Amino acid sequence: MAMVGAEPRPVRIEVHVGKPRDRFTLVGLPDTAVREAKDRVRAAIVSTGKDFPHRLVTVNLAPANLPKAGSDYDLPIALGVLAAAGELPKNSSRVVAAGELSLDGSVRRSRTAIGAALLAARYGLPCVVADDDAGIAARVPGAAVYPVATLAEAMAVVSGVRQPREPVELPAEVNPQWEDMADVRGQPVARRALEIAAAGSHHLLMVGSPGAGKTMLARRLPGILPPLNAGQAVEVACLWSAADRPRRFSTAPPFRAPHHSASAASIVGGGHGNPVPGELSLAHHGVLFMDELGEFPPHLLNSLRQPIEEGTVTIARRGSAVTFPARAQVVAASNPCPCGFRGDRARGCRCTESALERYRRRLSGPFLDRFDIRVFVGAPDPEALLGPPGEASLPVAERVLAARQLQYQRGVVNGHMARADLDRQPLDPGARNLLHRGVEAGLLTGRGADRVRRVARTIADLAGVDLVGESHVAEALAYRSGL
Amino acid sequence: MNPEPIAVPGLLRLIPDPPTALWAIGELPTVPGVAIVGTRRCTSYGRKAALWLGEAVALAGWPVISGLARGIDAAAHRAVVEAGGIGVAVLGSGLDTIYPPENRQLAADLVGAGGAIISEYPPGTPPAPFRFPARNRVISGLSAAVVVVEAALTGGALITARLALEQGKEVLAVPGDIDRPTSAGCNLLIRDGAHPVLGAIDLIESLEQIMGPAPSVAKPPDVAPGATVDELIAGSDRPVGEVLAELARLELEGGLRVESGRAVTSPKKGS
Repeated sequence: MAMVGAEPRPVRIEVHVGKPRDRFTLVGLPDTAVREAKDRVRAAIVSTGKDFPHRLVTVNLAPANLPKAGSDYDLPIALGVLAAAGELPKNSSRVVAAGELSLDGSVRRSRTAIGAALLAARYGLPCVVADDDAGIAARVPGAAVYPVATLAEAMAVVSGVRQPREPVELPAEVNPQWEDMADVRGQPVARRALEIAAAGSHHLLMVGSPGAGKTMLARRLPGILPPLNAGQAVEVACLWSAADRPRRFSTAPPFRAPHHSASAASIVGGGHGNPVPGELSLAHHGVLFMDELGEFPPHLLNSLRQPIEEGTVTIARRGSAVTFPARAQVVAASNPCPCGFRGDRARGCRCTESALERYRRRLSGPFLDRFDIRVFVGAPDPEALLGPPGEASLPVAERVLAARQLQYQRGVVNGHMARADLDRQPLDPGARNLLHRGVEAGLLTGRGADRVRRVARTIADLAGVDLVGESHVAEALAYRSGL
Repeated sequence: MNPEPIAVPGLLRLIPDPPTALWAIGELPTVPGVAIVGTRRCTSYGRKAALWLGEAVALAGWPVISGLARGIDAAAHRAVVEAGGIGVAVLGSGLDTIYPPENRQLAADLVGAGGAIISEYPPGTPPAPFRFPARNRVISGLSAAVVVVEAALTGGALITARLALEQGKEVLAVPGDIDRPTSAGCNLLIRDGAHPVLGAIDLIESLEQIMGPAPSVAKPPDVAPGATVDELIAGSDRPVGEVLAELARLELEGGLRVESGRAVTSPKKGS
């Protein structure tokens, strides 16, 4: 199998054994690592105690026009060669296999084990992978996973000589201990905004002075988001393995916080050679936190615009294009001005008007327009800091989940609603009137009005109300101004 | 609108080196005004004060004289326009060149609201740094009192204050933090005898002592742009969402604006 983006495509291994001649050719757009499989496969077969056929061996990786990369083709090529050479019985089962071979015949972990398991489940075939990969591959619903330690074991399992072992269970999932909302004291507006953002999966922008608690709030968002379902967890796992990141198979939403000095390729996706998913895709079904939004280079923000809107990243490569899912909820934090203390009573802003104007220009415009909810996070009241802890994450998460369930029943999460979805959401006359006035007063653009309607829908969902009312729209409007 | 040559008013002929000619667009008021001046590189504190005091003087009915520069000058005049008052901008160039260009709209608004832009330089004179100090003597000349809102130790605002003293006009200054370089000039003026301005009402009271009763009885706003939204919520027993919704309604009606987490009670656009 080959990965096209994060999507596995089946690759069929065809082997022809011809005239007696010591030659081994490999065709089907292999990259260097795949071409070197010839030597590893030959050594592994010999180490296993079998003869490598002294004949013209031709291996074709079909479809021949799909580029193949990496060392995961070692195991399937070896099995194919052995089958063609008559070392495997004719009635051996067809399998989906992925794994690198070591020269001594042992099977190493692969990058594409989850993809292999997905394909195996789709085609109803067993999935043969290294021991190290079996646990995670077995998490894919419907996949029959055969873990193997060596090429010899793989032969035995495929030919039915030996019963396949049970994959080693992954250790019970340790839910990451997200920090708790109780630590957030005061900040009623920011807390409310975070809850609404979580409930409707809305992009959230927080503006405020340094130390006001923007990062603290953002880090607590995953803890109040609903858990991923099995399908979403598989998608995320696939993306993480495509990016060759540490193993992840969790129902906890991912949280990524790239630094503003990170390259565009590492955030959006791309890179040299085979395109890999960027941070935006690693945060698929989770949260991408962009601290110090103003420090990110403008070209990067521009290239994020469309993926954020569409939920996918498309990377074009000499004639072909690869698409990664990237349905991340973006949470951004920014200082209100270069010195950071605009709106801060205690310290006061020392920026000149011209510096402020420049800063606003940098931040404003089409990118900021992508945020459904924008709030000002002021320095917390000293009294609140010494006061009782805020409401804990658990009850907040329960309200979020209840609101989210209403959205699942409608079939679409509010933050992802298109115009057509919005038009199916009735507004009561007062709400309509208020929205109308907002547009007339020049407070809202057409796009802005759509965002207000999405957020108002979420506010109504949190209140458990079916019809979006005037007060919901009014509150949603409050998250459009005030910076 | 074309610049028209006008007679130099009597008030201006009393200063030591009166201009020999004057061009104007709009109607130059016949009564003495109040100059509100300050640094071009203003901070949000200075801008807020300029908006507040500009509005107060305009509501009291006195013309507000200023230089149409960036920063304090523009903020004060913007507040005057919004409050429906009379403003006079004195330029350091011919009236066919509004400098800085971003204040062209403000200049038009001043004239539209019944004020004027004037200059002692004939049309065609380009803006030049050496003409601005001379322009400042016209600003103070047209005024009975000069309010310096925000000024560093160097800059045109202090020159205007000195010229005002030479012309025998009153000088008032808005105090600032002692560690704030942009307020050092104002604080120095206060030490040297300028009236400190403690707020809008205080300013109007001081001005009445200098100029006699205010022409209008409109009440100046008694609070600076103000409370944070979080404070409003803490002081209310209603849910967060309701308070935010109420603020949004008020904002739509135009009675209030939320800026940087603060509810600003008077509707002002940026200058």
